[in-house]
Amino acid sequence: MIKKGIVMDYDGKNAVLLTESGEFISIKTKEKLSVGQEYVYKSKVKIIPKQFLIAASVILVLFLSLFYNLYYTVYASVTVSINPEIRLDINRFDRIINVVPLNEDAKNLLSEAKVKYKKLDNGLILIVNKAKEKKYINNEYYEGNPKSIKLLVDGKNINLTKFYKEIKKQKLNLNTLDIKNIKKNDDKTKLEKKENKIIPPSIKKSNDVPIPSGKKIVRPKYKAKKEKSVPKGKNK
Amino acid sequence: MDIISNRDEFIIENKPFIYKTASNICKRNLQWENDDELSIALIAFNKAIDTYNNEKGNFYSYAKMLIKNSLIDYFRNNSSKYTLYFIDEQIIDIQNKNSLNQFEIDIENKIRAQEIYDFSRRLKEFGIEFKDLIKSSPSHKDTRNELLNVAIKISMNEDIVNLLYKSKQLPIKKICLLTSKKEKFIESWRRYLISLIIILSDDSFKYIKSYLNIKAGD
Repeated sequence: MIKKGIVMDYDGKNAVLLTESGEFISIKTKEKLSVGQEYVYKSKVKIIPKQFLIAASVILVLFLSLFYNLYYTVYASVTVSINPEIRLDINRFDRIINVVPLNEDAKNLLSEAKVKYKKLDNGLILIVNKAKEKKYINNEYYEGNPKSIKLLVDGKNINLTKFYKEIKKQKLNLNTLDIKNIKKNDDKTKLEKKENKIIPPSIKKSNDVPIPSGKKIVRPKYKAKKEKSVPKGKNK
Repeated sequence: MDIISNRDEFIIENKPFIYKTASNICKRNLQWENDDELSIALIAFNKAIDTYNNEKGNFYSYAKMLIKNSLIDYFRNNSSKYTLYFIDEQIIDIQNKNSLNQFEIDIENKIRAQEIYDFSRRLKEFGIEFKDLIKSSPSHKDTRNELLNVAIKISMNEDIVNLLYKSKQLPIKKICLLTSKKEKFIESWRRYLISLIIILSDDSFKYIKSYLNIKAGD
């Protein structure tokens, strides 16, 4: 940046310049100046062009909105059932972005355990510890006993190694269910049911006949038409 | 100007200089037959011949200063017709610089230094120092131009100028009525406005006034 102006004031280090465009500016210089002289000041600071600033801010806004979308998009859900039943929605960074208490006990538990924006592992450990404190988890949940903490996972590639280690360390029973497997099983059973329902007795009969049904219907009609189109005279 | 015996001849010789100076300030092509600006520049050049002496440095610098100030005064008197604005010149006038020798530059600087000293004393009467003006002068070009036109209008109004010098305060309400600007705007640029009014309304600061790159537009 180059600024030209007349020296209005000078104290040995700093000077006040009045520029041709009517601006009073302060400059630092090692040169000896005298009041009244014209001085061309070259500053080392580069001015960033306006267009660049606009482009940069647009990119920043886009980037932020993209990140916001990414961050607040539910990537997977984990439902913990002890007696309190809690659904934890997580984003792709394994952070809990939404906590839904599914019963009264869950509300009670969550009032003391704030798990939102925590890593899923840490959130689950906190929930288990709080549940222990509140005595939702009693002796019946430990190894060799019938009850277990149920974990219903809906989503891809959820890393819960830290949580599993902690559960092992505490010798608790854990039952993890992947919703996909459940769905697949459900779908299979539904399909089987549907197949049973769909196949009507008439089709079953047609299956007994070796020729496909389409051919059976079309060919005779076509032949019949051909027979009709043949002029009577020619046959004679 | 003892060396020049024939004044008319000298003026005719310097017509291109007068034209160039005037058209540079007016930012358009002028015609000798039609434009008042050239007549005013011619009168100012004639005045420069009358009033010039060796103490005033280079004659052409002096004449240019007088032409510039006369034209600014003309624009000021016809402020309804013209809008003035500051211009930041990117190209330094090398031709003009070369034509001045160090001695002439020193003389000019001395005259300017004296003016600046007087100007600083005048500002102190209003409780303003140059350091205050750094913060108080607008960095945005449009705001500066807006304030320049406000200052031009005020400097044309003798009542307000007299009141300003008497009370050492800006009569903000009167200024708002005159310029139809908001009180807050005038108040926030008070110091800068006072400095501009002093430069524009007082003839004793003609070197500072001519240094400002003021151009006219419709």
